Amino acid sequence: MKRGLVVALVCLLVGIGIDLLVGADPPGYAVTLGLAGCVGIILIAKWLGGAWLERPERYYEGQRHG
Amino acid sequence: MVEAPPALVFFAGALLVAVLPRRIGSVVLLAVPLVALGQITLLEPGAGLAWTFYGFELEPLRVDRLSLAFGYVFCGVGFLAGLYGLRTMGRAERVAALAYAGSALAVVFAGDLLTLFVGWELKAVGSALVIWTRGTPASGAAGLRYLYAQLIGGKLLLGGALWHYAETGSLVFEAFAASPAAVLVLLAFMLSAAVPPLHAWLPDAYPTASVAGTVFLSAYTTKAAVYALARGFPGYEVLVWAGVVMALYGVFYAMLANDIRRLLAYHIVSQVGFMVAAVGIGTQEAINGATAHAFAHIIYKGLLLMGAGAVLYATGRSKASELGGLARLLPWTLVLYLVGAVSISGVPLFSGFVSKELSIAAASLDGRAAVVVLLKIASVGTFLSTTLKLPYATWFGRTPADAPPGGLQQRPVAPSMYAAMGAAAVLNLVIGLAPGAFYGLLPFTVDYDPYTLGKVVETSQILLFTAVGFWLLAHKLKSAPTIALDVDWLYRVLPRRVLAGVQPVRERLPRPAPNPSWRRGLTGLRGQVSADGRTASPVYPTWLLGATIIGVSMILLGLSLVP
Repeated sequence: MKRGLVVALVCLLVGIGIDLLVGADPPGYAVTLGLAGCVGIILIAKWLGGAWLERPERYYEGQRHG
Repeated sequence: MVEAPPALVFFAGALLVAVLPRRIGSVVLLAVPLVALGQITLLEPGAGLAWTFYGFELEPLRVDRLSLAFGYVFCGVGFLAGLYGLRTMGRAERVAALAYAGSALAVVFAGDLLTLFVGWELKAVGSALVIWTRGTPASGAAGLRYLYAQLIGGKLLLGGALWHYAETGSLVFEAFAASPAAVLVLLAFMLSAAVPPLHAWLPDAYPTASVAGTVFLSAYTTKAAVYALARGFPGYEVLVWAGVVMALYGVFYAMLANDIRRLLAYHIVSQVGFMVAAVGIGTQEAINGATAHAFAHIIYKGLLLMGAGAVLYATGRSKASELGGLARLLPWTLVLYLVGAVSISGVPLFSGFVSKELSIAAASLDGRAAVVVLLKIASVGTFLSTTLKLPYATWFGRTPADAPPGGLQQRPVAPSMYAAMGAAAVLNLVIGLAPGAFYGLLPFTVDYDPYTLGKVVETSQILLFTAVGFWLLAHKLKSAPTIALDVDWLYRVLPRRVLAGVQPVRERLPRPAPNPSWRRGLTGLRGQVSADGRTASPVYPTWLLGATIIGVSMILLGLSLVP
């Protein structure tokens, strides 16, 4: 996990460097959106599923017959 | 002769397929969309067909650039889906699919609200038949729930159209002024476009259809609704936010889906959100964006569902938790699927990039920064689940422990399936590589170049960093045999729970007298009631449906007689 975070940080810096090169405004917008968006979607979806929404596969059959 | 509704070609084809031998029927199945496409290319914007019917001024054919764009792609995907289903579709499914595609074309070329309504209802029935022809208990039940939802939408449309007629004296289908009648029509269109919370019929029913049936379904119902919204309600602010909510809602639910075709169905909700938001913005650029995205979406979503369907066809499995390690067995399906996946994700050089950028640029031009950011987050989720999570679970990873000794693959993917997927992949690439010609099909003149350095770098970075995030958290995304509750819980479980609460009271009531003869007849119609109070006959659901339709029709008839 630690190695993963280091790799992600290096990628972030390279991404911001590219932004500075092509003059993107603000620099780091796209990389932050991609990384934070992805992590946010995974964590929120897992939380929504675990806390509220997920049921066993045959849930609806059970409701019909049980 | 050219100036006839293109739907008629499909309806005639459906009749021919119903009576001709299978081999000739296959030729008809493929020829019909091409003949209709040929006819549509000969139609000039401004052409039309007027018809007076019992004093109503009807226009079963109205041609302009908006209807033409949808007409082209509806015919094109009709050919691709027919080719894909050449091996798998039985006679009934072919007839249903052609009738369904034809009624979607009738909607797109309808110049008045009455023709629109007729096309709308035929579309509902045709698509339900497509679902039912899979012939499994799941498709039967889901198809029925689907038909209920669509018929309620149809009645909203009819009620709104008649109310609108009573108020304005006109049946012409054009942009609506805000009024209570328009609200009914708007609700009907939103239901059919699968705007939450009116969307649950889509992820419920689409994954239960046959492999080719799902491809047909993904193309027509929601996109005909996008067309109807673009025609009737451009610039309605509520649609902007409804679209943004859709785009994100579909993304989150797709993350929780285990069935790969349900995952892709939730991404229909998400992608249609982009179109609905663009319609809500309503500028010329935005209507272009919505049309372009609908056009590209039909092709890349068709390809994605063809790929997932090929996996189901070859292995008999469609749940991510029961799949894995297919890369060696079905490499070409993987490659073709991935073309669809990078297209829907908006990777530069593929169709989704040139169409999605057009919608987002329209939002940006209209000064809606929040909408732009939220739609880009939805794009992140699209890439995450369609291009990373789904292929990772299906084609890579370990072969599941319960795989048969000979491997997961039970039969080869049919050559016609590969041909359809290949053609769809080529179309996605052509649109992505030559956006100029594609933009030429849109309703308004396009002055936009998606391939500037800034946009390509930004999109590439967003997608690359999504991949980094996935790489960090892939261990959290293990597929499990679960489903996620959606709004359909409210009508699939809640009424049963409420009734179960009422049950003890009912049991204490005195038993009714023995049935008089007329009631016995009714009981026979409803099916045998078994000892535990459940009905065993399949006639019962149809009886319930018929009673509902007749009841609603009586109410509407009564309303229409009130001066």
